[in-house]
Amino acid sequence: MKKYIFILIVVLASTTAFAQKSKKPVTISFHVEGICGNCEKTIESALDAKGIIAADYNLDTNIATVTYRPNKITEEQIHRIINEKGYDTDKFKATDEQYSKVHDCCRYRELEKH
Amino acid sequence: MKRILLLWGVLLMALVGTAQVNPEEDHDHDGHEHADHDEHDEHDEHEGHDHDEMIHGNVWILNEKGKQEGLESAIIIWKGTTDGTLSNKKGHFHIGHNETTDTLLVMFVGYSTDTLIVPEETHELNITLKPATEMAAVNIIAEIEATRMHLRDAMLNQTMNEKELCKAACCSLSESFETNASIDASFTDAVTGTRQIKMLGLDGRYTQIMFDNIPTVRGLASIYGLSYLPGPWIREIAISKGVGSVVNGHESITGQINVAHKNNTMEEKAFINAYLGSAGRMELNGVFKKDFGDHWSSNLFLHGAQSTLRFDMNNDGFLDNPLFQNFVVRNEWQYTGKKGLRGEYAATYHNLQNTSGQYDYDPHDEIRKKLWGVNTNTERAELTAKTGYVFENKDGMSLGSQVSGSYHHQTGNYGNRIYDGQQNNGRVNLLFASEYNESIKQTSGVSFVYDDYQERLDSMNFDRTEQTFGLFSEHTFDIKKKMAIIVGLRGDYHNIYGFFATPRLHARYSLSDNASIKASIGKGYRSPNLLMDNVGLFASNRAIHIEPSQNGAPYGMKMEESVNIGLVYNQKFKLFHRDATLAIDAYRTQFQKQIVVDWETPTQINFYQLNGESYSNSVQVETQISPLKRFNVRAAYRWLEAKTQYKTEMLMRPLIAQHRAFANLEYSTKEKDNGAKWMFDFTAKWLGQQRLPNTASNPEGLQLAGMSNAFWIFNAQVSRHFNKNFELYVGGENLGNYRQQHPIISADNPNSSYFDASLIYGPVFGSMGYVGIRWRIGKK
Repeated sequence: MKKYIFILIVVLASTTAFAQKSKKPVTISFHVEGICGNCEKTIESALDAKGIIAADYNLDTNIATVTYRPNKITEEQIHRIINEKGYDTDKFKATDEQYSKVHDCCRYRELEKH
Repeated sequence: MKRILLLWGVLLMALVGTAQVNPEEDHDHDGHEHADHDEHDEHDEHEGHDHDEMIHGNVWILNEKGKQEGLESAIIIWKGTTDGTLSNKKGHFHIGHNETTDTLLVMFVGYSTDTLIVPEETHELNITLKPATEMAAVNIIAEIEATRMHLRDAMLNQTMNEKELCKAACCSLSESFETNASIDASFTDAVTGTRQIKMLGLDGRYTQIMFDNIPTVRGLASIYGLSYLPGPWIREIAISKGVGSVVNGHESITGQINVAHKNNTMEEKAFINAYLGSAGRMELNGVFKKDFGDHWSSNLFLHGAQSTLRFDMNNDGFLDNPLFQNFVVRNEWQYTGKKGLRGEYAATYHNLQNTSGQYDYDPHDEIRKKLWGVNTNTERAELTAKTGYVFENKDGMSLGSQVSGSYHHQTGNYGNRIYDGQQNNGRVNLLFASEYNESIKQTSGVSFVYDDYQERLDSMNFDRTEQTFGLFSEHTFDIKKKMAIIVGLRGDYHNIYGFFATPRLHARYSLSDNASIKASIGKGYRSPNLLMDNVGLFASNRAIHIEPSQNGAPYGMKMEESVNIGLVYNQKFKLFHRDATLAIDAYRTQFQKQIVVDWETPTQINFYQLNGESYSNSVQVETQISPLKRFNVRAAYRWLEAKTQYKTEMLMRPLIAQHRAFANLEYSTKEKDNGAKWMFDFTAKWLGQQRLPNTASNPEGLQLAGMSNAFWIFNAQVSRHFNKNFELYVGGENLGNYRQQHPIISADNPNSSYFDASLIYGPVFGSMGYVGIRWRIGKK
């Protein structure tokens, strides 16, 4: 019984926490540094996350278009997911440690400034 | 689009490799003459530079007003090296020649990468990058496929890549169309297990089938040729409905299918596939890649397959599937040289043995060989050489040659019929391509095709030699990215049929970024090849009657001649927040001259010249949506009306469904970091009623209904990717266990004149399961 009360509290707490966040899908577009098909694949599969309904990374324009439910994931979290794979977005930069994960062919920082 | 982008990305990845580009210091020099000694010193650190042989260049883009503007920070790099630089604010750069390559890549995000061949004597370059568009992406892909290819998307309908082909077992090319809505695949007869395709309601012989842009599935291999190419060797299949390009000849009537072998773009060093089917079919395939120095790379392809188990699920006394033993080997060499020279050279050898017929038939047993059976041996060898030379970068001029030859020899018996066919083929196609300006390109050339046939059936002799000399020219007009028009004309002189002209026109108009209309019209011609085009008739005791219409011509028949008109509408839209597509196409094929293949008299097959109308109208609607993440649904419906004037009446062409529906569902789980995932694939096909040839004059019990039943076919496959390199797949075909009732007329008396296994509209074998592995070794 204690367990159920605990779960109930957690559920209630989480619903209140997100109460003002809408379930309605929101679409955002932002810049992500990427240079090749491998980057595209990595970025898109990283965006295959809970709360994200659809994601597309356009290699030509370097624009990621993400449709998500604000009650499940925040915009910052979306940027962080991408940082996690070593990619910089227009809002947040990946740490050097995160950047070290990118594939040899995807070392976009070396391309920009040597 | 995504698929193309991905491919393009993979290519780019391969090209750039682990390149590290060294940006040029941002000097504000004006003109093209740009020599700064400090910068020379800076470049000293990099290999491959030659101080006296610096290239000075500018990278331009066109702004909205159409004026040239310098492009800052464009990447300029020698292909496959780390030797590169960036352009400065004005778009200016300089770079030394490289010792290992003369291929220079110029790239910038959002623009198509420009690939230039830069001869040593070049010191100045002006490069205008074009915004990346879908067409540019297609163009790049095309460049991988052949030494020289052209803007083709006004023609291309669909490409099926490796991923699509992995959705089904795809043992051979003839089975690769299971997940495609545009192509009908069926059997030629109930005995030999030979598959044939139909496009736009007409037999596959009217579709030009090419391997790596060389027409291959033709002549005596017109039907069997599809089974000569093992599925796991295929990199991509490009399908164009309607008339094709004049560059490849006059033969395409309903469409063109180009199948590209795996080549040096393959990411792994070795690809292994093993397959085992519940009907006793076993296959082993291997594709290997190795680079030899900077210029040469080679692929080795191996295929072995056999089926030794005897099955008779419908108890008609006949084997449901043939017993066979196939061995195919291919070796290809690709050359990427300095000075813009490219080459692809390949040799292929096939050895195929096929036995089918009554359950106990055995051609090597004195007694059992008296049963009705089919036993054929085919030996085939092919040599192809493609060489291309790209001139200076400025005008995109190039020369290409395609030289190929093949030897094909099939011997054997079909029941009491003794067949022996040999074809020696030679083909030369020389192409010259150039660009007048940004928007007008042309390809012209000459071709020579030689076919020598020695074909015998029992006492009949159909020996013939055909030689065709052709001239062709194709112009592509690209009008403000909104519209593309391809005008093609070829004239051929045939040693028997004389001169004939093949005009063709393709057009594409973009209504918006998401919608386009394509139209095509053109002529097509084809030499008669009666026996092998209708090889299903050999699985019957029908007597062959040919009414000659031209003395001294192959089979005494005229050449077939047609006009094909097509209209296609493509729309992209958003549904469930994801990309979705809708494609509607309509085609009409009208024959001016045709050889009517008349199955309407049982015990006979009659070939005669068309006297009246013969046409096929086809309309198809296909949509692809993604209702959930990683869940794709493709659905299509096709209607057709294919009618021919027979001796006495106008009839629907037999054994093709007027209505056909198709759906493919595909789901994959989220891919883990190591590439592990599950993939699920389900295909459902519904074929409406098909007209069966008239059997009313047969004795009772040996008659068929006028129309077949409509039926469903369900296929499913589950594949488990354990990581990026290894996958296991398990699948089932014809899960609804639909079987054609009585596929063989007079099965209990194969010597009667009524015996006929050629009237087949559905599967003979019931449900079938299979399991296989795909293993990629040494992937980058």
